[in-house]
Amino acid sequence: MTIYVGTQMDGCTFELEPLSRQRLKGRRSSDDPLPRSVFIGCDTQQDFVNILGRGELRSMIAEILTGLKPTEVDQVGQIEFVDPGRNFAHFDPATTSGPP
Amino acid sequence: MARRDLFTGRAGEHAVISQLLIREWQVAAPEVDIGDDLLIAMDLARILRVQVKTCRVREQRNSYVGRFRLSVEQVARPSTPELVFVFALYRNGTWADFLVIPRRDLLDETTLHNVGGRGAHINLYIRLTDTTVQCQNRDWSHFRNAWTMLSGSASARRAA
Repeated sequence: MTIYVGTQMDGCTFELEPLSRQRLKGRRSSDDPLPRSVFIGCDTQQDFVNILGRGELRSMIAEILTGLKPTEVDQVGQIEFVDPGRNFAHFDPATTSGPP
Repeated sequence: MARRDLFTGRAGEHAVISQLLIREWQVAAPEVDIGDDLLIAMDLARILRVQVKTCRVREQRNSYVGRFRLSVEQVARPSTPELVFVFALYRNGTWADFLVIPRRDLLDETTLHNVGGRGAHINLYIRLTDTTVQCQNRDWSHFRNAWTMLSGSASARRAA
């Protein structure tokens, strides 16, 4: 499963990649609508690295975007965070420009 | 870029600004173009980025065709505020059509329905008649002059 990340000077926007969203449909027990994106705001570059580098935050973002419970998220396999603005490279906040 | 294309592009931006203003959107054009053509706002709770793409159409026997090229990265990259593409088509001395497509809907079209081909760029070949809009066998009629898209995505509109 892939989550696209868009970085900007005040944080990041996260969104499920469309094929991942389509695959999810068969896994969810509910038809409730899902959020199309999540924005995490950060004040400084250091916060950006510390907050967005935390594994548990990434799990929370995945849960919000997929509507799955934590145990269900684990079952869908690896979740990749990808930055289309950097040639679809793996998202690494330590090497990405965030807030000034 | 050819001189004529530069002038067509700027004219198209002004045509889109006119369409937005008449619908009571506030419009701001960045002094320096580093990605966004326009920022628009209905109020402080509703702000969007707008990317205008323009072309002069080519006439066919029973239709006319517009071609556009944009980067995959620009369509795939999520942002807050959200980005909306407006494709402006110039025909017979006037701006004949505007296709208003939220970025997320365009990403769905390219990813789920293979519109625009593969590679670093998306090449859109849009065929229009008075009653139809098609992009590589996809019905895009609902994007035509769909300024109400600015208040929600196509999928949300269809669900409604």
